[in-house]
Amino acid sequence: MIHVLYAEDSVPTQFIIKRLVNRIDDIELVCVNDGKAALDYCKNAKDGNKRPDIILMDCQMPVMDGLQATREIRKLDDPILSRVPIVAVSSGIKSMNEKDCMDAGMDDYVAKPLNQQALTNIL
Amino acid sequence: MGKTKKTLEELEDERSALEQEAYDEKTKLLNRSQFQELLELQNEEEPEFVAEIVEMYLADAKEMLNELSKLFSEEKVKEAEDGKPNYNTVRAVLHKLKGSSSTFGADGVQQKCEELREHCINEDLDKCRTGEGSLEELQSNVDILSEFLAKYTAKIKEIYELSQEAKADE
Repeated sequence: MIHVLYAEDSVPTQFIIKRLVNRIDDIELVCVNDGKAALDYCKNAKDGNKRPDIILMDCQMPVMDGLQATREIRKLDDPILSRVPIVAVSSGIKSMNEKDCMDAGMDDYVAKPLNQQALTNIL
Repeated sequence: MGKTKKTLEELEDERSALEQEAYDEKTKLLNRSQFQELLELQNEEEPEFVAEIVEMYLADAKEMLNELSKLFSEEKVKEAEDGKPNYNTVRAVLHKLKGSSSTFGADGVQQKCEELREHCINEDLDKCRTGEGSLEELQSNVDILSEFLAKYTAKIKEIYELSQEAKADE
């Protein structure tokens, strides 16, 4: 079972992605609404929450954006969590391009819209 | 004498015609592959899925349009120290609307978001408010899409109900 954390502030997008992921076997998806929630989820992972095996991180979110959340996750003490694969999911905003995402510590970059094929490839 | 009930085939033809209308390059309502994928997520066990997604997406879009309307309002602009709308906030809202529209497959709305974004970058308040690529146009696009989706979801409901009746008769 692959445990996926998806950080995305758009509720309709979350809803659609949940349904798309349902069609892929052995994936458990948890959604959070912003970068800080993603960071907190990772911090609490030792205390009962399952550790994410991969994080799909929307770049632009309120409270804390995807790049900042990634930088913070990379600073965590836990050696496994701090190296969790993080995939940037971007709407193509210029100030958060692929290079910026990689510099922030992300491992891969995909452009929206996420669809079945893109999800299958990533996961 | 009562109305002749339509056959499943007739309803499916009507549904196809609606889809063609939506996917037409000129109308740019919906992206064929993205929307088809959403439709494929609906099945017998979840016959309301598309209707739910539509409702969710449109409610979300309308909320963001309201926010944009407030940001461009005379009141808000006068309040601002520099006498300009908060273009950064506008762009953030547009970005979010663009993101959910692309996942949903609303290509036309997505494009209008980009056009409005350009006007924001140029800080052209008049163009932001009216005319091509304006908030007004974006609102109109969402309205047109909303009307279309109401027709479409009603059609798939009709098809589902007729197919259930046919099964019950078997």
